[in-house]
Amino acid sequence: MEAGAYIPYKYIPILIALVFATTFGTVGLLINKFVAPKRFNPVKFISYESGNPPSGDTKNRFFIGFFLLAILFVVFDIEVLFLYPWAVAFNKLSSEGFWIMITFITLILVGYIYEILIGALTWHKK
Amino acid sequence: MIEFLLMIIKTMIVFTIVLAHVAYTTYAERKIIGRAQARMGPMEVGPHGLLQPIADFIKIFFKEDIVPIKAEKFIFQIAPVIILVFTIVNLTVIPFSRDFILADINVGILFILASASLSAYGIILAGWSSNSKFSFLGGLRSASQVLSYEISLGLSLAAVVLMAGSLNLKDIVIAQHNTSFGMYALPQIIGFIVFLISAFAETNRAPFDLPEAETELVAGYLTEYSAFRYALFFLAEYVAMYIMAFLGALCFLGGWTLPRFVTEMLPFLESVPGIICFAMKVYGFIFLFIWVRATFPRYRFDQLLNIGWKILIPAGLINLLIVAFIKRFV
Repeated sequence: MEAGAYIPYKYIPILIALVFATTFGTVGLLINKFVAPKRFNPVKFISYESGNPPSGDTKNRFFIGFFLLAILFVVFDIEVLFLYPWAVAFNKLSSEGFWIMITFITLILVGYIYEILIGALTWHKK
Repeated sequence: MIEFLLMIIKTMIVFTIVLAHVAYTTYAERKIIGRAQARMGPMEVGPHGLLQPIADFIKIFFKEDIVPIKAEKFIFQIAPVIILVFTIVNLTVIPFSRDFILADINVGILFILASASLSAYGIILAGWSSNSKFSFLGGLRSASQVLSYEISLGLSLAAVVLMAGSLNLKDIVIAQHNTSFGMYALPQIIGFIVFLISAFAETNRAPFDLPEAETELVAGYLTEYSAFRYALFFLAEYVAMYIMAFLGALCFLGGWTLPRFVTEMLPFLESVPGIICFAMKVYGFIFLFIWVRATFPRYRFDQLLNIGWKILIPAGLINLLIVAFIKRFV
């Protein structure tokens, strides 16, 4: 097959769906824009803080735990993605391929249990 | 060309049916929760309030669309569309019956997981761009919740993929039908429970609806949204609920097929069309979503993360090991 000659026909409905969903959203928003009333009042446009005038800056510092959690997610998500090709090819694997992955999963599990025990995954340590 | 037109028509049919379902799921939710609390639920619009979703839909267009001055205008305006698009596009890879599927791609499950991650962008962008404290905290919480539970969701689905040997949702259903149980929910009961809990958290539904915990965060990342933009978030949430119900019915309950031992006992069930079997399973899931919302109190945020990281992920890994050993040696 020539380079560039391949058209992934099976994926075309996904493209159609993307276009449809985008049009649905934008057309709805446009209708809303033309139909809805516009009664200007400056109070409407300040951000909501339970009825008080907003105080201070919003782009504040936030708890570092959220960031650590995102990093942990990257590590574990990659691990899960390693499992998928192995799972798909499972029937064609030799016993070596099987045991290597079992060792990998067991190692992760042991390390993971250690992490839980030292409290690395506890949110808001007291 | 004809094929292309046919595809467009099919996509439109699926979208219309699902969106109609979504509209009436809101009605069902209000009715069921009403009954659970010894109320009647909506009764005014039409007989038994049956026209309520249509009235709501029309009303939402006539509400003023407010963009706060301090918001990052462009991102604020585009975030709901991002969420809706990446949720709704999942419908294309769902096989509704043996021969009805829009895009029969061989990486169905992977596609759904990928677009689930992408719709998390919409949430965090909405929270960040609103420039309101409630929205910001709601967005952060929601993002970390979706990320945490995506791992356990992926692990429980990895066990299904391992058992079926394919990422194609159609092949998974057929592989299930050929086992003696007829559905993976029975032999992989741990995986099924992990999947269920993760599905509740992934879709931000009660008891894990912390991003929208109204007692502490008003409406989370939705706080500054109004009119049709709010409706887009709402639609996306319900479509996501349906996607999870589809996924659960396909990967754990045998999709459009009935287990062999059931059809042997009750042979007349053979003649039930596949789409009806599938719909019944999906409605069961949706009812479960609503029932749980009516029953359980909300979790605290640290409890939520602890369940995800300390129980569900190890349980998912152990389930995967068990399934691997069963498949290899039994």
